[in-house]
Amino acid sequence: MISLLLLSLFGCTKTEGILLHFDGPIAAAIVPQGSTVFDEPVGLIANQRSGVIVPVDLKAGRLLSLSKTASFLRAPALPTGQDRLLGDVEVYVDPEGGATVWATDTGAPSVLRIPWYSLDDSGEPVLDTAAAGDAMFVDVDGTGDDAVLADVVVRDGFTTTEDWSVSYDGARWWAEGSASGPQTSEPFAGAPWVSDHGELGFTLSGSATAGDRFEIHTDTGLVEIPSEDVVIDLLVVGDEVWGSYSDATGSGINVWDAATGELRRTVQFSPGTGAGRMVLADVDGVDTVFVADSRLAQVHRVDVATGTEGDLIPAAGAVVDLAYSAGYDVNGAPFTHLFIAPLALNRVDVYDPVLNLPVDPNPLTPETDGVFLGSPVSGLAASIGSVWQQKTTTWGARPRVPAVAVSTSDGYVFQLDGSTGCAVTDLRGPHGPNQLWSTSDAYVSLNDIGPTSDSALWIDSYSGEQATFSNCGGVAQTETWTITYEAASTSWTVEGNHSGFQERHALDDVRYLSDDGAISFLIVSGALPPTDGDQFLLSVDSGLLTIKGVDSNVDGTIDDALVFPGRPAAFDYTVGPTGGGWDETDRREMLLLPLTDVDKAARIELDGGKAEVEWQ
Amino acid sequence: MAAGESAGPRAPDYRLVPAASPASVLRALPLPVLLALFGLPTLVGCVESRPLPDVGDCAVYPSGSYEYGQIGIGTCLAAPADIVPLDTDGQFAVVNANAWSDFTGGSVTVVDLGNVDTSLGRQTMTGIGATAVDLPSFSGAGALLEDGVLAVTNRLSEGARTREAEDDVYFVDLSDPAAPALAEGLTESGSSIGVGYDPNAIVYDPATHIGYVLDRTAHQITMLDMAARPVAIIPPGGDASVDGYPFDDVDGSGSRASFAALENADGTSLSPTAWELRWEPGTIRAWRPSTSRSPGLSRITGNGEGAWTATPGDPDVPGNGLGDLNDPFFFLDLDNVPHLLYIDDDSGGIDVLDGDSSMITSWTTADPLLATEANGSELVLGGPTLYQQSGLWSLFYDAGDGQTQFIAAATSTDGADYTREGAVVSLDGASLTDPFVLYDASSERYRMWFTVDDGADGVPDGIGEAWSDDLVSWTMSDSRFEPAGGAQSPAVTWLAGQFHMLYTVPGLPPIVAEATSVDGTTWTPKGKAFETTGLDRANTRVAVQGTDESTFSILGANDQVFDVALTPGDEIQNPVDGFTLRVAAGQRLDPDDAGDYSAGGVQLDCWVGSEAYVTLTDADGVQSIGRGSLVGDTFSLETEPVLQAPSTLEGLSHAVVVDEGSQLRMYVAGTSNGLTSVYSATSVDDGTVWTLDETPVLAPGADWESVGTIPGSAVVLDDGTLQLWYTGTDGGNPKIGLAESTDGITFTRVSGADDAWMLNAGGPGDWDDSGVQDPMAQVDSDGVVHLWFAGSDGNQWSLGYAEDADGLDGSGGFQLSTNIDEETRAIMSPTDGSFGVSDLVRPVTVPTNGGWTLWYTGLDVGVGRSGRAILHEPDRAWRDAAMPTRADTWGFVVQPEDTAQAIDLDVTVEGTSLAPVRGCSALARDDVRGFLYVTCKLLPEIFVVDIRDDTDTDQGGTFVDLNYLDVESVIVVETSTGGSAGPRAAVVDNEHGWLWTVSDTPSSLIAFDLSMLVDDEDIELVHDSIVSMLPLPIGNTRDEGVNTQADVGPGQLAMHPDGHHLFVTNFNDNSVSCYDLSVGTAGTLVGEATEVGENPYAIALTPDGTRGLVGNYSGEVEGTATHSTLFVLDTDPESPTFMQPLTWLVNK
Repeated sequence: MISLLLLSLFGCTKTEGILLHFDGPIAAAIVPQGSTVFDEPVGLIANQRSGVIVPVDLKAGRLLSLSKTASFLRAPALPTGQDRLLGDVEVYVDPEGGATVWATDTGAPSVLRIPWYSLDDSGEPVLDTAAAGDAMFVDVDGTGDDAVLADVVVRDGFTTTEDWSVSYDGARWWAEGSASGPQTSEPFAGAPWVSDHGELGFTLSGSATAGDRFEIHTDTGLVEIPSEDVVIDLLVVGDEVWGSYSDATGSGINVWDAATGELRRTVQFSPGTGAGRMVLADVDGVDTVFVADSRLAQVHRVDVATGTEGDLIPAAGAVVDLAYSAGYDVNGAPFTHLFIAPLALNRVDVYDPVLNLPVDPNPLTPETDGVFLGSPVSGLAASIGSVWQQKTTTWGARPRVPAVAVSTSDGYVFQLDGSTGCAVTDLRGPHGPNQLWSTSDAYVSLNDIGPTSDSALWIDSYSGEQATFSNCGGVAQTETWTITYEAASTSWTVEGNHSGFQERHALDDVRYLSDDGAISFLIVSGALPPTDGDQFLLSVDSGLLTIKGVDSNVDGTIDDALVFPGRPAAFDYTVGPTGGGWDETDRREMLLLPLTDVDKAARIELDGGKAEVEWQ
Repeated sequence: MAAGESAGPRAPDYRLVPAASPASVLRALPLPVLLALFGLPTLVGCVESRPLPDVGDCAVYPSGSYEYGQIGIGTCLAAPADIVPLDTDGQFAVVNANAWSDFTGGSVTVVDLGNVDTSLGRQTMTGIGATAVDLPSFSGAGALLEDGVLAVTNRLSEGARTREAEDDVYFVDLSDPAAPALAEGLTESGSSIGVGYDPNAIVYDPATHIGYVLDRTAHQITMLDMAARPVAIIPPGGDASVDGYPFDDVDGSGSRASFAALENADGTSLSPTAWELRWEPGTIRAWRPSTSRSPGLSRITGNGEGAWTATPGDPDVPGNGLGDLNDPFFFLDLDNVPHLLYIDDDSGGIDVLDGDSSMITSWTTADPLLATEANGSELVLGGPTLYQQSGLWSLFYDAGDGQTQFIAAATSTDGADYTREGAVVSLDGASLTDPFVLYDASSERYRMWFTVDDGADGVPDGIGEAWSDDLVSWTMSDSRFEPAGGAQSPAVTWLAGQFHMLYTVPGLPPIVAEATSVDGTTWTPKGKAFETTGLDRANTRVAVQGTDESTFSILGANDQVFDVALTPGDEIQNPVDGFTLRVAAGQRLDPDDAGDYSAGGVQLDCWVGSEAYVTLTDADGVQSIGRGSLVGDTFSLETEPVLQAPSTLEGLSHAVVVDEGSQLRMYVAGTSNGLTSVYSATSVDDGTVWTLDETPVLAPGADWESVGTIPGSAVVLDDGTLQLWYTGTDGGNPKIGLAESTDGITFTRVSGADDAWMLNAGGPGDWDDSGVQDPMAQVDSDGVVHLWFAGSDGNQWSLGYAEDADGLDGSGGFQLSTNIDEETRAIMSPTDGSFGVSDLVRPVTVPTNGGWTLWYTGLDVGVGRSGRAILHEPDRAWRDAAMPTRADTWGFVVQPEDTAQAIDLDVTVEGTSLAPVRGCSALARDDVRGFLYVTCKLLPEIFVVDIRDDTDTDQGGTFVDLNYLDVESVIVVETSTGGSAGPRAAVVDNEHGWLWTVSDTPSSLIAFDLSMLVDDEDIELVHDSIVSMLPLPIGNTRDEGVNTQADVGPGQLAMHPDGHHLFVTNFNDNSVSCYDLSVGTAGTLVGEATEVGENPYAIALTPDGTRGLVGNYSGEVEGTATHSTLFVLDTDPESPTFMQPLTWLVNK
């Protein structure tokens, strides 16, 4: 199977207006693995502001190349027009082997269907190429002007489907594309002209009068499907593309034929709803699309086969994003979990759509809630397979479980255990000051207020810790706990600067457990009883496995932070034996993560808990 | 037709301008622009020779040759820093900073969209008929006031940064937009008012007529009273003050406390703080035997007011291998090492466990202290109790044959080897067990409590008592504590001015009950303290430990605990927090009781039946006589005096009232011309109305009483003779005298045993060697004269007692109370922990059944408060103080002096000084919450300033809004670039309850959840409040179009009137973005106008939201010149040209 296509470039000399690879990378899609063209995983990144969709080679960590011998020759991007505001992107690979890219334009609004490649008779992939129609001169005043627009040039990877107008105002020529917008570059008679970003080239000659214009159509096969409402999210479901939309009165899903672009049906939700991001799931053998409601605290579920809406799933707030994780937990028990990120709560909740029950990662709290992550969730993505955990079991083993990756607006990627909803921790896990780990850590001693007291915070000589923490990652947050003796109740009040005031008070010589089970400690009384205001201050690190950026030179510091990560897309690939052939073939669980604010994209290795490649 | 006015395509001319060379860029953006908005380092610009500048026909050119900087701005645009909509018809005021100094100054230009033809690609300012008024350069922002007046901040940057330039707010009269002019007569100087350094943003609150000006370099917000004429600065603070709340006896227990001193102590840099005083009577620990299945002692903790908290789980003191631990006794030695004595269940001897000095749960077995006597009288031992003096341990226990027990003692000089001393307390026919010994500082005696059982009914008879002066000889009292249900096995501790006893109520299992007592003799049962579970015996003693530390905790803002426990009488000087504090507690009469009349103190003088007469002293020291009575256990004082001094006297004090049958007669001290005499007044209506005879009945006499005679008390003898005991003084050492009268008016002095006086000061070194006064005499039926009085050692006054058993016959004289060393002693002295820390004076006794009630006055720096004590013997006194309880509420508020003229943003939060405030750039007013938000480009924090006083005390609430006109909270901006940068602009989104801000690191819209803000009295750091982030174009890392070198990402924000379309200018990206906040989870980018000109910054929308006016700070770059522009943006979401620029407004 060939994995490369040759790219023929125009002999264009244009140097200005070369597109950046990324200009507001907002969404990513993974070409379905197992497709007939690519041996290795390929991703597509939609740029919100340039309107360009860029294919990337996910395994090689570079822009996709279609040349085996010249890997620096990147495959043409998929332009949609500089004036568009791209939202989501998806790719559909049809059974015949061709691929079509779908994207949303939130500014128009519309949905774009973009042919990418097809297979020729020999089964080899052929890129769909750009073409230009004949330039039509409109002699507005009928004066018989003889202006000529010749040597029209279009470029794959630059040209998109649109109508161009080249107008003369009596002094100057102006060019404007219906998708590329007004051009700052000015055509002059007799000189080759190229549009600002290389979408179109031509040479003008002859004379014209004010108001005369040329009209020319360029075409890449892109089809714009107008929409009355902004389409929020796209999802490929079989041979269909689902697009969620919402307007002032309600929301729903438009379902298009992925091959033809025809609208097959619409699933209309109730008034007041706000269909948002979607995820496809096999729930007990039933293909189901879960749809986040971005206005109401609920998740819709739609039976793929019938297109009917099932029972609503309650959520803690309007829903930012969803992920579906199914597999087996560390004990081999199967699970099917829907991960829900509610708006403004900066956490991720878990729901079992088979049992129709919420899953409580931390049963110690009376409420069913998820793991708090401290920042708005940008997106969720379930791993393709299982992910190695950092923290070992008591037996010293590193378990492997399906994970859900969570990107947050403050520049982190977390992992949640797909079976429990708990956050994955690093090797050390949640911890406080511990001289076994760091001699610079200070043990917490009593801040003795008023009359002399000598209570102490008990130290576990084995672990070196003065507190123990919940096994469910994320329950213990990075914060400072203040433990204060309250004489009126002859007990210690406990307050975390993030967790807040705890209803449970601590007693001398009785092991204490905070309300949510985040922290446990033992205050050992002394010969002199505690008095009002006596205080311990205990700083705790959540120990969560957080991916913060790329450490390019492997010096332990982050060189490129994950500034404003978008919604991640999960993929995996296998790597061959290493170690002289002694190692087994390894499957790596990865993420493709657009970094919207810094015009980059990152590759995250979930197993290693690190970001390792950046595209820019 | 002029070239610039020809009809043409939509694209503007500026797109044809080639990129400027670096040199021209520096010219285009010289020093001021970079400084004006963005705080960049100073750059050196290049100066080129060139033709006369042409900035358009909007300018006013001087004649002849001229340069940039010499051109009048006219109606030109020059770095528009702010745009303010003026009306509903599309008129805007554009504030021109003239940041490049192209012109002689800046301006406010009025643009009327009604004059703008949007079919044209561009129009000149002259062409649209713009009007303007000149201002100095470096204007910042504008706020529209009433009557068309625009307030404009000026001197944003340059000179202001170095604090060298004038920093003003100018007022521009735009009531006639066609003829704008500087407003006249609004300020002292006419049209401007000086504010803090580098005034930047300004917002105006029409409800309060206050303008808030953000002074960037001063890090302050100056408030302007815009309604005042002249406009005036409103200082946010006031004079320093410390105001105490009244003590509130919430639970009605009769407790009293007041401030003896409460003063401001500097603290000019402090924030207003409310402090709460919370009474902490201390902690009692008790160890009780556990079940027989799990032998040992389990601990339980009491708060001194009946609440007990058990320590669950295994026994705190494990008895494994030891058997049951019977009759435990907790003992903390002089080295603070804990010990537990107990009766060994196996050997029957007295064993001991030694505790670790720091961890009381760790106990080790020490050598037994005392074994049983196999062949002696101490076959069975029980109830050990130990008392340690320096070098001597005294062990008490019960001993006997198991049927009849007595209290025995053993002593040791090392605490280990004990020598039996035999029986010390016994009672014929009864068994005495479980002794518990405590030193009683009030009576200066050792006290012992024990179980008394006569054996008749198999049930203990109660708890008996004995006392000793030396721990050797004990005197058994007749008193018994015999509550219903029985009592045995006492364990006693001293806490909060009372004895607390835990005793066992017989039963299976037994219950431990609690009782309290002022004197250790008369006990008040408080009911069950806690249960014992699983015990298979009906009796047990518990071990107790009391902290004996009764204090007030001082709790301040942010749950701050002031690290000093406040003992009544102790003074805390706390300049850090701005207060000096001393309190009095436990008194029955307080200076607060009679308002202004008693502000300087009260003194109870005498009782007549159920009514008491008191001396009231006002704040000026003028004294009068008041009256009160006991209501229940609480003293109620009439708020008006019953007798005030006539003009001939300086005041009246020391009332002594005698019931003559038909009338009441009062003897009072009055002072005239420096001499104090005894005067008489009478009342025929039970003391309500008094008539004073202004002729003294006992004037100063001999040398020892040559300056004053002051009544002390009166005794009416059986023959009707009235004895008036009084204080006589020569101005120095007072003495006690006596005068007699048969008619109550004419007095004859009585000579005492020694001389003319009845009682003189004690000998040198005695407690009363400097004088005696305030005689309180009583003569009992045996003719014994009891005399209580106040004596001074030169430093303090104490109360003493003397008696003359011979009835003043001159044979023996008065004998003062003595101690074990036969030295005279006071019976009560001033002490901390209550009230009256300086002196105790004016004893007044009232006989009771079996003793006396002693009323006395305690002085604290001369201010009197009266309290009560109990006497069983005339010279043994126990204070019966009305001490506070935990339920009581009390506190004070410190308002430091605030001389500042503005609200300071450099604050300390939760004890931590934040990073220096830098780069504050915008204000956003929140009318819903009454806050003002301050965003700072160079600081990852948002300041929340409380601009609404939500104090509700006048509506019955308790909330005092101490943060009014101060920083209420600081929102922490926690992003991946946190710690380095913050938001530039902000706008309130009331649909979500969020605050949207723009930031360029990362370049984004960031929403903060305003529901996390709490309007309270503290300043808090607010974490985790970011609830949404939306991406914006490139931040300050890339510059579209001409490289203007200015590091600005997103600039300003404007919310559409529909409340959900939010517009952002992207300075470096040369674009304007629009997010629809109602689409998608938190908002979706629905429109972007790109390549709109260089550096769009200021933006404002028409009130109907259909049009926006955007200012391009740089605009068009032409060679070395930069020409600011405006463009009209279609901001109507329903328009087909939504987010398209409709036309540009240019200088030329």
